[in-house]
Amino acid sequence: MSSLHQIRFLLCKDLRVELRKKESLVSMAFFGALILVILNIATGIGKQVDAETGAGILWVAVMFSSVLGLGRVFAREKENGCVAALLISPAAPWEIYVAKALVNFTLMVLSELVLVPVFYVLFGAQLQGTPLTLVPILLLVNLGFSVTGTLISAISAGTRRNEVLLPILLFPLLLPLIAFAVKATSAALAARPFAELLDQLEPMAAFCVIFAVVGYLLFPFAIRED
Amino acid sequence: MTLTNRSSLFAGAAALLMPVAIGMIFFYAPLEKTMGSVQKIFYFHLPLAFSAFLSFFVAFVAGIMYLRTRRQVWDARLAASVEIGVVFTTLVLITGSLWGKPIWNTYWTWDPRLTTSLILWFIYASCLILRSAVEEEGKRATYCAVMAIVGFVDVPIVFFSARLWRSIHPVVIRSDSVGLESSMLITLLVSMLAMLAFWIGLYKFRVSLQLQEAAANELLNPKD
Amino acid sequence: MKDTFLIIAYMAIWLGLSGYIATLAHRQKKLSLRIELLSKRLNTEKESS
Repeated sequence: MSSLHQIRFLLCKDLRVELRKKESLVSMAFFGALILVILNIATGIGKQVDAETGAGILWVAVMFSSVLGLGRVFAREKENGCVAALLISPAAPWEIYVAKALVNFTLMVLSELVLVPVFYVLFGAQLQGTPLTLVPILLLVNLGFSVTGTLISAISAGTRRNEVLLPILLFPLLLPLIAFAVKATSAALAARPFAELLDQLEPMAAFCVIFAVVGYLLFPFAIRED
Repeated sequence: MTLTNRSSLFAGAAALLMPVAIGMIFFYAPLEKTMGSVQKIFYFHLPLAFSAFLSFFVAFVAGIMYLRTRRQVWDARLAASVEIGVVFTTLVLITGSLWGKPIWNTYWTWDPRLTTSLILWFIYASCLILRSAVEEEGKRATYCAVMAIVGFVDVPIVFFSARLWRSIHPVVIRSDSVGLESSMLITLLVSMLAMLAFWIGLYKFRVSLQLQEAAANELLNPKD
Repeated sequence: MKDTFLIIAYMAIWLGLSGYIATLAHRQKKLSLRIELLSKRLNTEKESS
């Protein structure tokens, strides 16, 4: 079987499990919406937020809800002792890495389909930009989050404190990506021209490429059980 | 016991050089005109920052070497340098804020250097938390090696991104425009040497401690 | 005013570094105690056998 087949097989397996149990997706969307409501109350009921604050609020909700889903991606395998099975299967470690990153990417996209509309309902009154300009930013962050997060979650799932360690290890690494995303989002929400976004999107893409390569090189070490 | 001997050699050099450096800072180096006495923080701030960065570089190299060779000594080097690096970065951040308050009139600003040190501190402090959370030695060493490498890769990205943020944040001060007089430079050099000797002594001591503890653990709980 | 900040900074440096060295020394001491206990136990085992 070619690598592409392997990856698609692993991806379909995880998505099928998710579809049957719906444990990650429901909690991600629910938790994200909850954060948005809390932040709406925290910014003051009846007050309108400007584009910059709105961008920060959106990314707080996305980050914290995504880390919930990411924690499950590997913890599920570890709990059932399936990592060893994955490793002795014909799939190479890097194929597992790509498949897991894609699973997480899909989960993030699906949960954002809920979060972004909720964000617009709660905070959208003052924002001029169309949600469509958010799409490239969201996709790039999802990609960067997935390639970095899959590597880190392989580490944290090997410890006894997975849920606590994952955000502690992951968020410092993601800080530059989030900083770019917040800046780009505030430009998008203020309906500035697309060329202005490009200055932020390019370094975000570079971040994704660098961490994809690092993940590809280091994942085989992180997943080994010795 | 050669390790401890060499570590005490560097510790001795540091013990000799430190008082010399402090004496030079307070009695030889001239008072800076605009900043006054606070500027004297600089003579320890910079060597501390340099040694902290050196420790993270050593951690990065040790992480790569551990993954390639799987020898325990590289894990000990990694553990030592990460721990010392975090301690030194903490001191860099504290002294930096204390220097910034009277000069910039703020404890904190998002200058690239400050941002990079803070994020480095977060990354490597989380690495220490990770170390305390894993019991199995092989696993702990691998995980920490991966984290040390990933963290070091993040450094240039953080620095670059912080430089872009400056377009929205006002620049309070440019730290590279501090002109140095020759007597200040000599003082800086001496305190830099003292700090480096101190760092090497501390590092060697910490590595040997790590290895001794691992050996004692092996004696107490043999694997088979 | 400026001198206060200087003094606090130097105190922070020396308290921090000496505190760190003290923790390391404490660990070293605990380690040698453990090794001592271990060798005592080994000696008694040798004598009894």
